[in-house]
Amino acid sequence: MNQKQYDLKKVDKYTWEVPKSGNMNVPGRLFVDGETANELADEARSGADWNALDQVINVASLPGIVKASLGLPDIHPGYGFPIGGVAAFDPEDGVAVAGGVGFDINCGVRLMGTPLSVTEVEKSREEIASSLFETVPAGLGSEGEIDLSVEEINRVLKEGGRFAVERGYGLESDLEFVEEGGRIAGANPEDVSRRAKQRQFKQIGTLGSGNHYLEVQKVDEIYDYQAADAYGIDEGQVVISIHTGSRALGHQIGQDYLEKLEDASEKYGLPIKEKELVSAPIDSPEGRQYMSAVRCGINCAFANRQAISGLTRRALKEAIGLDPESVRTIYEVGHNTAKFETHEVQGEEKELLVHRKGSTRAFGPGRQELPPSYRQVGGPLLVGGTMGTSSYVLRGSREAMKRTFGSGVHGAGRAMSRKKAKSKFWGEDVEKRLNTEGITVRTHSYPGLAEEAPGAYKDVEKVVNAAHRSGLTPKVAKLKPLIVIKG
Amino acid sequence: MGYRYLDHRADMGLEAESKTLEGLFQEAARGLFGLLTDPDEVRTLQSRKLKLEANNAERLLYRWLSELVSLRDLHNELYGDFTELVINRHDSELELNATVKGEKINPEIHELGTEVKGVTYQGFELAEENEKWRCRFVVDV
Repeated sequence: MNQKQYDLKKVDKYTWEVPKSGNMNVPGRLFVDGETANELADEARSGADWNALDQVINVASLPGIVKASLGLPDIHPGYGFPIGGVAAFDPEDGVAVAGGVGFDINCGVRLMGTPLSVTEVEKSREEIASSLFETVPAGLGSEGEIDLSVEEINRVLKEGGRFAVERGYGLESDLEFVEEGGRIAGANPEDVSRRAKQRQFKQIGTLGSGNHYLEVQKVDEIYDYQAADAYGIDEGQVVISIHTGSRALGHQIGQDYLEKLEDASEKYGLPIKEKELVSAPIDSPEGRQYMSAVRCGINCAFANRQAISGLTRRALKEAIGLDPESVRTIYEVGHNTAKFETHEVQGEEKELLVHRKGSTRAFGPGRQELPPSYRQVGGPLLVGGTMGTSSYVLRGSREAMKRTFGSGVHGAGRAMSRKKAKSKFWGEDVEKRLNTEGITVRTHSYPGLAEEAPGAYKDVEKVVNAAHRSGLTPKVAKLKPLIVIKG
Repeated sequence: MGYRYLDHRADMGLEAESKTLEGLFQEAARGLFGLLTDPDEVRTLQSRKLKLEANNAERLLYRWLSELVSLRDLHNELYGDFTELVINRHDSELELNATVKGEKINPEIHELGTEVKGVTYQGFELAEENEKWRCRFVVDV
């Protein structure tokens, strides 16, 4: 790389431009504070073979990219494509990029509101934690209670969340508050391998492991009362966050298509700047097939979170007799997706393929894709913290529509490697420490708990503050964990 | 000869070496399953046969590791024995035949780590130098 490429140009306090040079088709744009901008540039200058700024530049070099290759406040290196990265492509001459979606297709967060007060949770804390832990399968090797055939898996891939509702998991009304109504069209199960389907037979309604979680949280602070009212979030309210994705099916699609798109990149003479940045023209058999498979993965994740929502309601009913219908879905939104959307380009509405890798859709007021009751304030973004720190609800804005194709942050990102975290922290100590802070933890893996220790993550407040101050995604509410279920 | 874990900011890096290509594939597999549990604690109660082909050793290794991740999940098993493994060359194609041995996951016996989502292409390397085979790869967890 030409070192000059790393000379970032300040646009405003929270916007830095990577000027177009070399093979770049568009500039890069980073929505970070000055300190983070310097860190990103220094890392690239040092020649680190895995850094986010080079990845922004590589994405900017892909054909058909529109406006700019974007990095949001939580940007860090990913596989070919940065995490916290956004790129939109023209369907006529652009590409679908494997690294722009990743292995965990439509990994995302569902937020549900309960009528419970913190005092009520305190009274039955252990019962609630144990009931959730026993009812929601989590961790390596866990199996769900829904055993599916290939035909039923095909229905999951086409019908998404609706399949789970029809099987008795959750409420019909949940789907109104899920992106795409819990089902994205254009998913052809024939584009997904038999192996991917077989791996998913027993994984609908499972949480997984790693950074996935189910948390009971309290609404600790409200920043934007108008938006909080629209979303139905009150200070002191108890809410539930579910963070998981498309499980083994998504992982297998990711794996299968990495090789297929590598072959397509060679066939169509597309640049492979980093191995994982393989792609296929959107308007090619391979590109269409990949997008169809991605949509199958998206629907699988919708079905998975819907099933877990049903299990969560069951667990709360069993533990404290809570009426399942009194738990309502506030919103569900993914953060590893590629979708066709309409955006304004040079004064005209244009359909684009928007990749969001570790980035959340943040549609502003007026967008028809949002639930009617949220259209006036903009859509919610659900930003996960760590087990020991807060999560946030932000909202999309007109500013985000103009500058980031309606996209915002998704989480803090790791500060420490898993290897280092395991040598520095001890799972049992992490649990004790969280207990003293009033957080009850249930886990299937103490080594996993050590890897996920709050100290191994970056400061989520810093990320959220940059997201807020940049005007892209203002803060609505802060959520603090009371009970954490980990795989 | 053997494998070791490397620092990686988000996930887990692995490096393995061996005097033979077959040995390298075995060490890489042991390293991969070492992320899930202690491979020495896995009993050899169940066998799975694998046959894979690729036009170069790097792709064959990628397919081998991916197939193991996939098989593990499909049967909900852990594998600890990869010694029955042969790689043959037919013209420009490499063919791997192996029988891997292990058992059903049992959280009461196995101390479990974090699930592996997939083997990434990032920094994926396989090389032979001074009669020693070496590979590096990163798994997404």
